[in-house]
Formats: sequence, C-alpha cells, structure tokens
Amino acid sequence: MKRFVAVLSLVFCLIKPSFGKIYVDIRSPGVTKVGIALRFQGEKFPTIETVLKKDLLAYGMFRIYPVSLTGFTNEDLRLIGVELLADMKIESANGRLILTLNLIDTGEGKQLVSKLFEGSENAALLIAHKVADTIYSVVTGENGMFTYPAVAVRKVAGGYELCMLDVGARLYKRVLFSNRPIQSPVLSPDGGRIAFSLMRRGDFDIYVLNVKTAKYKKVCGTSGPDTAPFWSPDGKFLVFSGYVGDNPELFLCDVKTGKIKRITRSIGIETSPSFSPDGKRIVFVSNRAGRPNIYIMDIETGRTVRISSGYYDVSPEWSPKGDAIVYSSVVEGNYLLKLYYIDSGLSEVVGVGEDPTWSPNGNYILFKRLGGLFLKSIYGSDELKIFSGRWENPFWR
Amino acid sequence: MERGKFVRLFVILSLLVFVMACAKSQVKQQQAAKPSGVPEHVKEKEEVAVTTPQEAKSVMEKELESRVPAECEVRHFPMIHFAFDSYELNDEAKRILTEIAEYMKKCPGVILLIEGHCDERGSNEYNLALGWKRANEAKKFLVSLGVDPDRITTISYGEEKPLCYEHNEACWAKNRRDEFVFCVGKCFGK
Repeated sequence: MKRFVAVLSLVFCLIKPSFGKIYVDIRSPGVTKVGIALRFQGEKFPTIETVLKKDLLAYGMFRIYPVSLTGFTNEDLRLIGVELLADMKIESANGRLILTLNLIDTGEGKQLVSKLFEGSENAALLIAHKVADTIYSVVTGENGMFTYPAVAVRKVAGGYELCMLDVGARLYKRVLFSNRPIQSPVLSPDGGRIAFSLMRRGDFDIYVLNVKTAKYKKVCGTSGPDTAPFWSPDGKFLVFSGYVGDNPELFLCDVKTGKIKRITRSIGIETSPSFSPDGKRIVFVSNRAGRPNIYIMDIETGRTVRISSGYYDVSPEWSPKGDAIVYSSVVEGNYLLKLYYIDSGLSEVVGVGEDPTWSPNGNYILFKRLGGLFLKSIYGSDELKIFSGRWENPFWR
Repeated sequence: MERGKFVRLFVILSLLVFVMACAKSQVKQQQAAKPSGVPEHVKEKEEVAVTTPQEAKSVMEKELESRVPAECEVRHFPMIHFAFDSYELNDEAKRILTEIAEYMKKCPGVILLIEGHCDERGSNEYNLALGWKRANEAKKFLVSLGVDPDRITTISYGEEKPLCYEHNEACWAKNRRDEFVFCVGKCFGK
C-alpha cells in the first residue's frame, strides 16, 4: 500500500484546501447530511466512480446526487439540495491516469479545492480513496482514512486467513493462510509489516510478515503462548503478552534483535496492550483485581492506573488522537463498545460489538459482531456492515 | 475382565490405524491423480500395500506388551470444567486430577498433555491466557500430588477449538474445559 502511495504522491495541490468553513461538525449528534453531487467528465473509469461513492457513503455524512448532465447552474443544484459539487475530469494516456477534482460550494459559488491526482491505471482504487479523503477533509477539517489499509483474521473452513482490508471499497486480500490459529495482526506504523501471533507446534509466538514479499518469520517469544502484539509508534518495538512460568506478563520486544524485556509484574493475566500515540504509555487488560479490566501504565515509571471497573472489560486500543481509549465491555451478556476519555475520566457507550479498532483519523471504529465487521462514527449512530463472515481482531492504522 | 477390555481396545485401535492409513493413501492418490491422471490399476496397487487389520493388531500388541504393563496403557480420563472467566478447580476437577495423579505415579512411562479451552465469549487474546491458566492450574495440582512436572506439557487453544457450537450456556459450559491426552513413550516434544 505504502508503495502505491509513494507512486501516487504526484499529487499537485493547485489551490490550498480552504478550511475556513466547516460544513459538518462531526461531533454534533444527529448531524444533517451534506448534499454532494458527483460529476464525472472525460474518460469512464467505473472503479473510480463506484469506490468514490462507497467511500463517501461509508463516511456516513454525505447524501450523494449523481449528476450526469451538464448545464445545471450552481443555483439549480443548490435548489435540489446539492451543497457541494465535486466536478471531476478523468484522462488517461500511456498507462497513466489523471483525475482533476474541483470541489465547489454551490451556495457561494466558491471553489473549495482543486487537486490533481495521478497514478498508474491500476491505481484507480487508490485515486478514488484519495478523492474521497480530500472531500471529507475539506468538509470536516479532519483527516481522511480510506487510503489506509486495515488487517484482520478471517476464519474459514479448515483454517485462518490473515487478510489486508480495503475498508472503503469493502475488499480484502488474503496474505497468509494457516490451518493453525492466527491471531491479532497489527500493521506497522509505516504500513510495510504485519506483526501477528501464530500457533506452531502447540505454541503461539510473535511473527512479522513483510507486506511486499509476504515472507514472515518469528521475531520474539517466551516459554508460553505469546499473543496480542502491538507496534510502538516508531516501529522499532512490539509490546506483547508472554509468559514468566505459567503467568502472563507484558514484554517489549526489539524487532531487530528479538531481545525481550518484561514490563509488568503481577499474579494475574496481562494481555492486549496498545501504545499511546506518543509511545510513553500503554493501555492493557489485567485481571489482577479479580476481573478483566482496563489499565494504563507509564512505561518509564511503571505507574499503573485502573480505568475501568466493569464485569468484563477487554480489547482496549488507544485513539490515534491520544485523547480516548476504546474497549469492549460485557454488560449483562451484551457486548458494548465503550469510550474512555483520558482527561475527564468519563466513559460512554458508543455501540454494540467487540474487538474495536480505531480508524486512522480517530473518528470511526471498525469492530466485529456476530455476522461480520462493522464501521461506525464514534459521534453518530449509523453503522455500516463492511464484511460478512467470521472475522477476528481487526486493526486499522 | 481387564484383559478382555484391552483386547477390544486393540481391535478398535488397529481398525482406526487401518482406516486412517486407507484415508491417507486415498488422499494421496487423489492429489496425485489430479495432475498426472494416474490410471485405475495403479491406485489398486497402492491400496494392497496397506497393513491388514490383523497385522496392525499383532504389531501393536507386541509393541505394547513389550513396553508397558497392562495397567499403564494409555487411559482415558474425563475432561474437567470451569466457571466463566475462572481457572479455579472445582471438587469434581480435583477428584479427577487425583485419579490422574495416582495413575501417573504408578506408571512412570506415561506422560500427559493438558489442553486448556474457553468458551467463545470475550476476547480471543484474553481467552488464550485464560486457557493457559486453566491448563496450568491442573498441572500445578498434579505436581502438588507428587507428579514430576517434566512429565506434563500444557497448551492453550483459547476459544479456537470448541466442542459445541451453539451460542448458549449449556454449550459454553461444555467448552470451558481442560482435556487430558496421555501418551506412552516419546511424545509432545518430551
């Protein structure tokens, strides 16, 4: 993916996006959707049109008007509810594909952004994501997310598939199959590697797979089952759950040397660690007080604070914005997705499901529920099923 | 009486060996047949090479007789079960483990693999640790009764190998378990 982004980085910014006006305040609940018309001119690239629409619908804040005819004035469009017009022209020559986007506010007749995206013809998918992310960015003042891949494990008859997911386009690609369990894949911060836990000869160890070559090897392990790896923000370390005797503890692993260092000391189960974006703290699950709950530890000082007191709280992940932690909590047999806000210490229920992972911009969560993987904004109630099937441990970066 | 039981066991075992051998060779043939189109008579030839049940039985009987006394042949013990999110051994579990300890102490050639399992609820990461705790709680109990820890291997499958696939308590209760797999001689990496 990163490779494609590099190829594609020929993105010329002709006019700086104007962030003056925020069309959608993503934080206000029950937000009304923005009417946007998509007008394609030039050559036909059905992939781009389909994926762009899928992305915009998945963002959940757009009402899409297809405009095939020219000749509408901005005033005409505004009257039928179109607040934004995305005027796109697609050209291709010598295997290269160029898309020019002009995003216009129909009310003020103002051009909000004008951008040119260029790539090879088989990068149509990524160009569509870039257009969608640009539109989202202009409308909300926030970063887009669909240019970033996710990973997850898909359970199939006879085994486990490690898959890379294109959340916006709702596509997935298998990168590894194993008839023994694969768990907890996580993409490295640069997107080039996937760390995961794999069972071989009766024992789980931590492996790292190179996305480009699909080659993988064991990088660290202890005497017990090693699980739940998570990359440090600099991509040099993995924090994971390993063993001292029969007791699960958290360890840091230097990915280059495989050297490990124990960072927790308790008699309970410690697992599911996730780094804060500054790399100074980790959030994890421990049952040291009797039940699985969520704890935050300062790595330097070892100071640990418990932040949840539910009956069964698991699967925490630190928000990429740094201000909140999402986790899943079993309350009277129901699986709830909860947010804990670091500053206020307050928590709230944001959905129903398990195994949540943040979108790279920190505004959405991708999670599992019986029957598939789902996407929702943490601010709204709309949900979108991204994939059907038996999915486990989604992770998005 | 005991003797009769074991003869039956041998018959079952040897039949199993036979069936598995057949199944294996069939799979191989299918795989081989696809690309190269192996003619029918070659397949038949391969099947003839398989050990007959009588042969398998006598070979196994001889081997086992030469190695272990009858009371130390591989035995089957019931699984032990746990409460939700718990690795505490209940009275029934302790009773079964006490029997296992007696058997293992009487039969030094026997080694044990304990598999810890969980129900599907909760995270698979937490459940893997819980399964490990469940297997090791049983191991600790056996060791406390005098079994050599080196004769016990533990493994956790977490929620990955359920016995029962419905989403209800009856099913979950069956899945929260330790399974005991015994072996005589060199196995489980020991």
